[in-house]
Amino acid sequence: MFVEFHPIVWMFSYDFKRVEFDYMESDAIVEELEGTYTDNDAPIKGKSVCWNHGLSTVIDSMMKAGLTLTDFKEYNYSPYNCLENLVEVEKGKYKIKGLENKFPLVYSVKAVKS
Amino acid sequence: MDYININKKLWNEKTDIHYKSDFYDVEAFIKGKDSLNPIELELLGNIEGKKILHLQCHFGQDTISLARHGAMATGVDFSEKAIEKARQLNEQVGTNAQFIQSDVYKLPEVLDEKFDIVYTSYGVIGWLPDMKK
Repeated sequence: MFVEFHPIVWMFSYDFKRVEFDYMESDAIVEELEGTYTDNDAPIKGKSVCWNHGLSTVIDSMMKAGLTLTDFKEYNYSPYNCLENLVEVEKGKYKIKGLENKFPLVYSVKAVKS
Repeated sequence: MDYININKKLWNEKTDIHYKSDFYDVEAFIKGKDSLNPIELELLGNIEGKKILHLQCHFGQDTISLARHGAMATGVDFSEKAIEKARQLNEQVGTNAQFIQSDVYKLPEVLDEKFDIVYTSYGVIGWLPDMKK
């Protein structure tokens, strides 16, 4: 089973002001960013290489690997304050300021191998 | 592109900063704070006695939390620094989680065991180029 940030989250610029990245599978996203999600001002600057994976890619890969999906959920909050412009709407539930219920921030999948 | 070594360098550097951060709050964690959230706790259900493989575990808080919930947990991460910290933390907390340093794609070469549950969470698949693999 896994819980992951929703691919819609990764479409946006870091301030959630505009759509910047592709939802669908694309080339590697290579960035040189300062700070880290625990502290935007941390003295760290490093190159990262990442990929966005749409939901169908993830789900289809699991099915093709012979897994049977038994549970699939989307959540309109993040349990972590690890993105920009998040507000805590209730204890342990963070939403994007101004886009509170517009799209899911997290999803979860449970699958079994038969 | 050598994405593994580029990202590994980054995560090795992140580990020390994260370990000391309020976000991960290691002090409270050692005292017993559960690092798992209601979302995954509900999905996992009762894991007492279950063998769990936790992929991309960073410095092991969630792996250790799984162990605190009674599971036999094994954490895997590609960052040497993260695994070193994870083992240290595991010892400090007094849990019996196991940790393996490996790229998840290379895991079949270093691990030959069966698990009841394979678990991974929050900010993991974006570091993997191929979902089919």
